[in-house]
Amino acid sequence: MIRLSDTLILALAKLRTRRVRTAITVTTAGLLFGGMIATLSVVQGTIKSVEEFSQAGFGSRYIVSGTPMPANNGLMQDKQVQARAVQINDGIIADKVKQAKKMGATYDAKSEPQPVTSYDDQEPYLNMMHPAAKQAIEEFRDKYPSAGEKEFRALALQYDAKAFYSSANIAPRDGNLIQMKDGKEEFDSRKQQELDNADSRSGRMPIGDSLVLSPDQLTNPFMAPGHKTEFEKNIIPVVLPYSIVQELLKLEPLAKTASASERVERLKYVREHAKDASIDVCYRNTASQEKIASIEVQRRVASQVKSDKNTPAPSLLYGYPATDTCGDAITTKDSRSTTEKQAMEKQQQFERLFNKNVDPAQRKLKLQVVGVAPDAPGSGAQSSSQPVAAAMDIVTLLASSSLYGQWAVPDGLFKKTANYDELRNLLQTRSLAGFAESMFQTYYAEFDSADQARAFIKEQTCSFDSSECTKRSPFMLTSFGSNSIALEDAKHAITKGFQIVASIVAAIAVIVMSGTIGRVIADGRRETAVFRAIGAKRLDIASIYSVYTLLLALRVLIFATVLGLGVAYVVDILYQKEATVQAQLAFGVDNNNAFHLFTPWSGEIVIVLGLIVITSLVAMLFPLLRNIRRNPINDMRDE
Amino acid sequence: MGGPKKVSDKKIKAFIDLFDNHAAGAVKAIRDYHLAHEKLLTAGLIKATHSGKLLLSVQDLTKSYKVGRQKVEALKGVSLDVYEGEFIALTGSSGSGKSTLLQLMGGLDKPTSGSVTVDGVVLTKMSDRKLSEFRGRTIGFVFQFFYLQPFLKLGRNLEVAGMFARSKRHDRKDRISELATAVSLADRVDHLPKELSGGQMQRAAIARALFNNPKIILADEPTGNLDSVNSQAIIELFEKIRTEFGTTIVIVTHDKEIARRADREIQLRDGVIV
Repeated sequence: MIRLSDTLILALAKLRTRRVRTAITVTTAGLLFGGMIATLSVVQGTIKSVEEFSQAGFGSRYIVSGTPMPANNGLMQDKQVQARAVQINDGIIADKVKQAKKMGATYDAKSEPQPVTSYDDQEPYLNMMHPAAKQAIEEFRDKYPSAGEKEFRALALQYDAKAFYSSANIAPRDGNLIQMKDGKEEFDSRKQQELDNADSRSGRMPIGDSLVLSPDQLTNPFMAPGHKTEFEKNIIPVVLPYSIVQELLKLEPLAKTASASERVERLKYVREHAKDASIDVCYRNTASQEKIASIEVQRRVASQVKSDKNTPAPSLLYGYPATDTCGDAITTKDSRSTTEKQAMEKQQQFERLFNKNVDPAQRKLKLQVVGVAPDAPGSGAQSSSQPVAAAMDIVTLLASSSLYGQWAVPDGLFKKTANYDELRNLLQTRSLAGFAESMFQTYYAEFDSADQARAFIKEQTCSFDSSECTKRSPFMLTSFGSNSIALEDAKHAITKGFQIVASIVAAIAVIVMSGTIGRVIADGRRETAVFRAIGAKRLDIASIYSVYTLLLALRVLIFATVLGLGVAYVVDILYQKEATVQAQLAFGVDNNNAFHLFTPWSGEIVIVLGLIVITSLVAMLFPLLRNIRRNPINDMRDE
Repeated sequence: MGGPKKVSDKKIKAFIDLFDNHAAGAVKAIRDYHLAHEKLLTAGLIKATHSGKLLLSVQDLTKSYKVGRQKVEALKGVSLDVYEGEFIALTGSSGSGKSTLLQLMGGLDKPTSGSVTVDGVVLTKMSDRKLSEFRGRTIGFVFQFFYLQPFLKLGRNLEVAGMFARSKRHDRKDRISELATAVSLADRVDHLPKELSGGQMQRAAIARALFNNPKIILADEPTGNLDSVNSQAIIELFEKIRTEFGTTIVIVTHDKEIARRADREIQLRDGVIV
């Protein structure tokens, strides 16, 4: 057989024929494969960077959270529960009438709200806030308890869960927690309403609904440097979302046009100073809230009284406490007669009898920031107007690590608070009336692999509309902390997508290349005949064209690699800074790692390079077989 | 005259010297000489080159192929012996089967029946691979349209035949300069074919055919694409080759001049020798 070096000489000569056509082919195939390489380089580079950054947050931990579903979703319309609520209510009313008579207290049974309400044609429904309704529901829950930690563990163990945690919403059983903006209470109800509205517009929940007592294992990734570890009385440690800490540090949110370095500086600043941020919170029980609210009413009445001399002035008046104390209302005037005082005392005794907390209680609390978690993905708090933002939002959504906007109270740290037991008694797990305690409880199971976690979610999650699943698996399951499962899925999807795109590109490339190779081989028929005449074997001809094809493939390969990696590199240069900031925000880290949108080498890129060679050889195969099978004489006769 | 052989040698020597230095002048001189000493020269050459050893033998060769739906019988039983050192002209009108015969003699095509034996080897029984190898070493082909590689320099073009024969690179280099000198193209070795004239290209093609030192050269209308001056030069070159290298030459031609100067003229008509 002909020597390889000689084959090379002849193949190179062949490569000089049909130059325009060859150039077009190399360009077209190069663009196709180059595009693939560019895309792969960016995608793989991004994934690699995401994985690197992931080490900072929950990273490659596969945690599934489970929220128990109530045993019955239709309690409000449940006739039995309604009937029981009415029965309880009737009993209470009868009792109240009896007691009022006995104590000489004023009581109007007709003014009592009913536990079951119905509007015109609608089905009657349970008034969940009504004490009798609450009791009826609790009885029902006791009879049909929601699934708890035991059941969750049993389910998760089927998928080889390796660790378990649980968290629970905590809130005052009676009353509310109100943020003291700038350390001050707002007593004007309209102004307070405006503040609340502004909060709800920005998607923020009231503090009372936000606090989640979390195990340290879930909050540790987000602890701020140098945070406090010992807490005085009434101080509760919290890990807060980034944008809230920024606000607490009195920093205006950066403009959407802010540069990458500005935002990274801000992130560093926020994390460094997070330990100094805190929120003053005023806890008031219902009685305390009502007393404060009554002041506004009293003042309104008083202004009317002034203009109407016939109406006697009220005998008991309250005034607001100092705004920064969270204190009880101050009695400003008490000209009640002894009879009045006795009647009021009697009334209070009567109400105490029926569980109503008539003694105002309040306490000033401080939420001390000990950590910063990234904002909930998709909250828009970290988006920028840069073109890469949309793509990075997807990456963020896919790869960030966060507590989903929770105000997490690290369990272990909270225990270091001087009056922990007292506070824990105040902030209880059960919060909203009528809802099962378990609904505010979240269980977590940690797995070794994405596959286990995915299977657990897929096979055991219960959706809201399925009443059947409550029996089988009564938990709503989602991946928690990081979307490492989604990232895994994305990788799978990318691999699949890559296969499809690669097949299409390869098919197009085969057509384009076989056009040119076929042409060159057809052009070379007579030459083949001459070569055969002067002693070339079929194998010699085949090896010349094979080397020719490989040289062509090499050109495509070089062009595609230079183009693909070049484009990816340019993308990296253009957007790396921005992406780094986005990633730092998403993962809440201020390390010095750059987020690269480029990887020079990956298994997939090697596959593309191999594909170029294979595609070229496939493109060559048919024309070549036809060529060497021909009788050389036929091609000479064509002349 | 001192005998045909002496005259012949002298003439050839003079021709070669002249040809190497000044082709057109040499050709003219030789043609004039031919006209004067035609008989002597021809007779002398036969005597000088014919060894009497059978080199190529064609037995009862037939070849038919289809053109569209029609079956064409190109050869209808041709038998022919060619001796070592002979210079044979195959002539005949178009479609007489002379080119087909030449191709079968070179093993480029398979006959429908009959056999071709070259240097004691029966070509018709050989495998494609063996045949290619044999052809590369034993037979040199020259075509009407030269078929040089347009993107290879002349030297490389000559070398191609050596590539397929796997001859050593060093030997090839020597052979290139040797042959280029023999066909008066020594100063053109680094030129591309497009920089050569038609006559030069055909001389290069002949040099390529000679590369592996074949026993026989089969040329299909080698002067068909050349003007008369260049044709003349080519004929002279073939004669020189036969004389210098003892190569047997079979030429398919319409050129009466070649036919006249050949040792034998074999004429075909409708697929048979007449």
